[in-house]
Amino acid sequence: MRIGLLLAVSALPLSIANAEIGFVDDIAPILTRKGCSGSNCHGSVRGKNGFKLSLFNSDTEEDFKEILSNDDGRRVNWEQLEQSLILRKPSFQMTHGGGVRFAVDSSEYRTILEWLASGAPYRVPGRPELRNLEVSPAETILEGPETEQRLTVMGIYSDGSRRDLSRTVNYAAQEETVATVDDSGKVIARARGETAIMVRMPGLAAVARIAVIPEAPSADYPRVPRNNLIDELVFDKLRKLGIVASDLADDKVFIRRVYLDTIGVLPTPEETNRFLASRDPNKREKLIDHLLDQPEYAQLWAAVMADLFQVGWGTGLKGGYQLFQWLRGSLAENKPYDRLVRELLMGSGPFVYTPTPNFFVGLMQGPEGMATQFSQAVLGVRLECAKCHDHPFERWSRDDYFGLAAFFSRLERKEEPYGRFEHTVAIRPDHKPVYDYLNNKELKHPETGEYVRAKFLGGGYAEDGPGEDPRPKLAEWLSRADNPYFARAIVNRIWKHYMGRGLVEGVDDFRITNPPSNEALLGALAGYFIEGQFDLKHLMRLILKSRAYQLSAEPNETNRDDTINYSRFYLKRLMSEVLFDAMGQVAGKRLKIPGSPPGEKAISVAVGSGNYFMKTFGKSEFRDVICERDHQPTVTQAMQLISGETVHELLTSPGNLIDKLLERKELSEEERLRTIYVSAYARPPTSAERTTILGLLRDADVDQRKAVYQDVLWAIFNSKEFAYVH
Amino acid sequence: MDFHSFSRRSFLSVGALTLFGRFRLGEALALRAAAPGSSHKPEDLSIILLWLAGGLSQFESWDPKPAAKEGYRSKFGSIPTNVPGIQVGELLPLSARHADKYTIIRSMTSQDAVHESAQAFMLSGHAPRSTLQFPSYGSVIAKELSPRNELPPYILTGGPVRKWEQAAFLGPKYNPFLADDPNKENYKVRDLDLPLGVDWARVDRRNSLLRLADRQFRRMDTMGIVDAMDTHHQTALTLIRSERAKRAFKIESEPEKLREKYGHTSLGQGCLLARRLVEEGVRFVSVRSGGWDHHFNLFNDISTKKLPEMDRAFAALLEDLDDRGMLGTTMVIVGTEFGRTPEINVNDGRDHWPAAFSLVVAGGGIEGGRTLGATDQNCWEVVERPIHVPDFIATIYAKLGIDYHQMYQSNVGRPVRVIDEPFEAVQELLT
Repeated sequence: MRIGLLLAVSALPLSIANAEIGFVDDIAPILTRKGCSGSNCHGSVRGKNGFKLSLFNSDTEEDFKEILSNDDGRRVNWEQLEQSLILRKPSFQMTHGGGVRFAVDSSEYRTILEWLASGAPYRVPGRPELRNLEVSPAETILEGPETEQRLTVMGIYSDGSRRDLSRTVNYAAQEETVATVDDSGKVIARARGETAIMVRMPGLAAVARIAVIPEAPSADYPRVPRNNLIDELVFDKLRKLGIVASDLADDKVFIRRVYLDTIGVLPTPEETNRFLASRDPNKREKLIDHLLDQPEYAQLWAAVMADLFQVGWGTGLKGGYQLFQWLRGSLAENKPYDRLVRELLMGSGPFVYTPTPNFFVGLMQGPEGMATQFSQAVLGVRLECAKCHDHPFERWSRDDYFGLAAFFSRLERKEEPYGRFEHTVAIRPDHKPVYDYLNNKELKHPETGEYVRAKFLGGGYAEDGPGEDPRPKLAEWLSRADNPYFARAIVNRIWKHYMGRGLVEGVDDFRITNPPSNEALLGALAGYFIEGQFDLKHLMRLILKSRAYQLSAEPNETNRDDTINYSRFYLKRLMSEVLFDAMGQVAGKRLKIPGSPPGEKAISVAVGSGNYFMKTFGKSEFRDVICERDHQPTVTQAMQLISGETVHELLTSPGNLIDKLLERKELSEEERLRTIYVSAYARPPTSAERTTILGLLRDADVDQRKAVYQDVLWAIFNSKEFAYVH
Repeated sequence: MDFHSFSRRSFLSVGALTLFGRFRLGEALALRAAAPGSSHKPEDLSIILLWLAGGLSQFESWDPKPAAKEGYRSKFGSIPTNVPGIQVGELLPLSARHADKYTIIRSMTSQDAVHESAQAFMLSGHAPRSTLQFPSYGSVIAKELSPRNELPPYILTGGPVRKWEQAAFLGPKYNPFLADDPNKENYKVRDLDLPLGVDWARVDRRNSLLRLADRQFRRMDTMGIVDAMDTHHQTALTLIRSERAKRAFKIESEPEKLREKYGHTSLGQGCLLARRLVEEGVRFVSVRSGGWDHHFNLFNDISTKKLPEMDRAFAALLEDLDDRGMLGTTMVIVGTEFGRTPEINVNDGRDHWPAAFSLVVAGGGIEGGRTLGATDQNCWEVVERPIHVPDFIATIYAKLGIDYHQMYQSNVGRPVRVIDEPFEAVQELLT
């Protein structure tokens, strides 16, 4: 439609036709679409052969200058327009590293020529601005390789009008092995998998999700029982993909999983035996409700949130302890999450005596540092790129970044006279200037010249007056039902904790070009959470009671390769504190942790790395970064498990589980072995395990039998089944 | 008209140079590997990286600016080195005596001013992407060059290991081995000895029980967890059995005079340990030092603590390697993720400044006694021979004979270049 219009007008005398062509609406999209501003061409960090464009023309003003005026304006020959580099290069009338981008007399060529002829305006006056892109279908499943699907892209303009841009945008597949896309928007399936198709216009992006399956799901797809709305959305998608979910995990697997996930401890042999013996059809639901009410629930989640809110980092030991205790109390009373964050956000006072100001870790780097920390931890959005330049394809501009920083401009971190390291978060009488360090200057309010106006991320300005503390407005914005980030960010984190993988992965990287693996599910979960008044346990109950959570980790032929659709339970490594406590629990010895009172559990360590074991297994020493913990196994961990002091002490210290079992003369070796296995794995030994170990125990004297049990326990602590929730 | 044809010609010649440069590099490597009598094959090199995390101020160290304007100018001046014409910051008197052994790159430039991503960039040559973590060059080296013996090819002192120091999709096998802080009293690598009362017969029995215990789990494991952890388990056992490892880490066997010369600091003893490890065949040792993020109190901290420690360690390392005839086969890099702002802030500090900063490279056959590139008098920007981060990483790979144009299969199913295109090794450092 639009192309047709251009071709039609190009036959008219230039002076009439060209009034319609502007850089932003017509020229920059050509550069984006033809790949000129891609990261391998002129959009790379330092451009190409001296000509530099912003990546996918995210900065049209700079690109406009680069083409018309930079390098002494040598890219346009105003005497003879056809001789301009900007035309001769891409049409390959001159040597061009990028080859032929379009032919002489192609519509692109003529558009650029006419634009130059009309005086090369930046924007055509009075023309509505492109605000958004909408791509349909947003999600497609293609059955069989070579299957095709055409995408339609609509542009939505400032005056509310819509225009078909399907032949104007740039298309790219994230995983070209799964599907490819041509520049008319035709998607062709290649191989099984899922991919996003990015759709780009200068400064804007949208995405369509494509799943490719080998063939239509067979008619005899099994019926899977569905417990709640999670199962509806998980199993609906699996069905469409022809993936059959794994079976329900058995009770032995379930009880170990749900204990470790909700309260961070192993079930005792008595608890396991009682649960396995129960014939109550609702025993799983009852156990879930029971566990969420245990004090250990708050201990575990305080430790998880301590990473998120960087407890103790930069505010000190005492302050960190204060915040840790406060988090634990808030979780124990199941404080609604929006209120919890609001209270953190509104904190002020000395770190040492008041818990909530310890949240303001980023304030060390001023309001801008707080903007980065806040958006990453609370909104799940990384804003750092927007600090220096507008984020390509995302909505974040530098205004968003500085506008978010302005919410913290009334705060100041200062030293108190009563102690050298005792700091306070104080509320200033005025606004601290927001600092733009790329341009090395303080930013001022554009109108009043006093302070930068606070702006909601991706939204409007907070109507705050000079001298007003804008934080309450930020808190109010968070709990609005239409807030696009707040609920989704925490829901995704909680989902990942239980399900092993975020619907959006990394959990702090929400953006258009990183879409959730199941948008309907994330949306439904966020809606459920908001309707439930931000009640964390309410949401957790829904997740834990879903069949999806209770699936076995064992794969079948259809779901072995699935890593994103929750068709089986994904294995999760135990958090280092939980691992340490679990080992102590099994061995019947709680080792003392340096800096903590005797008998204190690892999960209760508020600040610092705890001990060498916990550090080696990934407890962050200072919680100096918000990023998720790294769960990759290391050689150092292996050495620690093979010959380290923690394991050795647990195996050998007097009065441990082994000693206690050997003291009880009435027990058979088989009963002893069973107790050890049920404590560690919530299951009895397999017949191979039983035969081998009983064989070693037979004919052994007391000392030798003790050594055998030590070796058995060593093997358990070194085993993967122990280190993982499965 | 004239202008056009002139610029076209210069464009063409630049293009030709780049092409020729690429060709020449391959040729040079082939020649060096084959030439009889050449001192060493490129892959014989080892690397010691002094990693100054937080962002070393170029003003106070390798790129002093005595003529900078008020408010930018350092409180510290510059001093001559043993190479006429080269000046360094006055806080580096010991390193100044060895300027003939190193090249100062004063024209490093990047756009990344965030510690995490800038470190990831400097250690991988890839601008980080949230969807994909790239392997550090230590890991690439560990993968590409065959190990010389049972010692881990990539060792890191300090710790804990950061994400960007790891192997990412190359697999955990190529992650660094953490050697802790050799400056600790009674330093030893933890858990390198079996506990008292446990002999190898017990270990064998334990291992057979472990294999039995893992049978169950293997059925659930679609992610290669068992294999990865077993690999680590084997590596750990090999190390615990290794006499060479015990010997290499025994830093206390060095004469106290030499230990003192390196300085009893994490950086000093880390460098000394690095030399010992390289001597025993380790390919890549990263000696990490933190605390360089001088937003506050720069002048006091850097003059009383940080630079004197670094100066001592670096100078001692160069001298020691030279004395032992190891400098030709050991490349030493003093690296950091970015520089610091020209402007001195209200807290007597400097903030992050990626636009222009300095690195130093020595040994490994790299010509010493020179500077490369330059910044303007206020160090706002690079004015001569800008060197981008991936260029530098490409240079390291080229020195080692690793093809940095090759593609790796990443975990997201997408092939990824070893370094970001379109960068090229720094020719001046290769000849």
